[in-house]
Amino acid sequence: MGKTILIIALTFAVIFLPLPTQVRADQPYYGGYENRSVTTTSKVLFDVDFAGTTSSGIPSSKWLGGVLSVAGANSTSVTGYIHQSLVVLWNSDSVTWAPQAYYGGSQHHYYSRSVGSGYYVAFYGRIDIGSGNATYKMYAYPSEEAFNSDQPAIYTWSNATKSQNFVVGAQYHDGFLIKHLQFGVESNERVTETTWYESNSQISYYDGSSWRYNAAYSTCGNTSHITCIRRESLRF
Amino acid sequence: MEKRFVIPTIAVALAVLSLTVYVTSSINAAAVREGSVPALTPLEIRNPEIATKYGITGYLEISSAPDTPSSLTIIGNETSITFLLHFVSYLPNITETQVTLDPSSGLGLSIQQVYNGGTININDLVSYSVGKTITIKSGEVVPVTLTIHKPANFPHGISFPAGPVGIMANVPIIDNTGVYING
Repeated sequence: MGKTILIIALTFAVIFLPLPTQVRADQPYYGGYENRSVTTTSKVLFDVDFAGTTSSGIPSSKWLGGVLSVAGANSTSVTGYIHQSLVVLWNSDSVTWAPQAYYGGSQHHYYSRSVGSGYYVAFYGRIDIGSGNATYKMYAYPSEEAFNSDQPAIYTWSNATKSQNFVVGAQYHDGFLIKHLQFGVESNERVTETTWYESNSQISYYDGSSWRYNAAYSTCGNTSHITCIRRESLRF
Repeated sequence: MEKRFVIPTIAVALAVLSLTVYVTSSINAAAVREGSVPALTPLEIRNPEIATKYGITGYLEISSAPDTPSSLTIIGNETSITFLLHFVSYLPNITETQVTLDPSSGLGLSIQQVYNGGTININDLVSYSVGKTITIKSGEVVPVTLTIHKPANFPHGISFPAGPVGIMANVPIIDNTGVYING
């Protein structure tokens, strides 16, 4: 009798032992986030360049991207919207800019166009929010001369949004560290065929009177939660 | 406790503990779901298998007409570019999309070129050959002409990018145009 109970109980225990939850990033992503207390802002900024990367070494089925992502909010209460500015280098040496936004895993708005080539010295991406619109800006500098004299071509994409402002910083929610302002390198598949370089710099947010630059911490796909919707958390 | 009850008691306790942990973790898993946020390029937008995963129902692709040179010079007071607007639907029940073309709306694409002495706002210089709203059926390609008007005081020798400024749709827009204008 005792042995029977033992066998049943152990079988029961093995069946119901909790298994770890599988988490998976949709795309390879490695980046950074500002680890400060949560604050609101109306503008975020970053700079991407691909100097040192031979674009022809990237397979034509892959792309190499620099991305800035920020959570939308009403005051410090997140709305669940995520706004992204993506700058992508292709095998052809063309550089595509793709501003885009998501809510609950679904795309809210999207636009893309070529804004230059891999030899450009800087691609400054900025996202502004206010008056019901998210406004994405791309400042493309084709040469050192254009950069030093501050003469970029400026592309702007504006779309309606339900957020009043952005939030930056990080906070815990339901056991997850939610990192509201993130930047990094992302691709559709790991680019392993060539040695590539992609620089993210000038990551900052506007505090109402000046641009604020803070120390950043590293983050990667499975831990890169950026916002939440009620009790759902969204990550890269 | 009698010796014969020790092992069964431990086994039952273990089972109860496991069940408790399982139920608790199941409740937490139901309360906190994780979703993914991608970064998409035209490659993924054109792929219905990937795009529909993110609620994308189709897309509008804008290209320059064949044989459009990569750079155009304004001769006289104006020059024109023909764009081809192509709507692709991923859902059988979405057979058309509405597109607005309004360079002065402040929505959609705007282009500025900074030069030594000022800034050119391309949206202020252009007009479209069609009204502010058009409907494009799925699979249809609609040509639209953008005319760039050169004001009398336009700075000499300035090159700037032109594109489908002020175009909006309820689907992702893939802008393949890439024409430079030599003023």
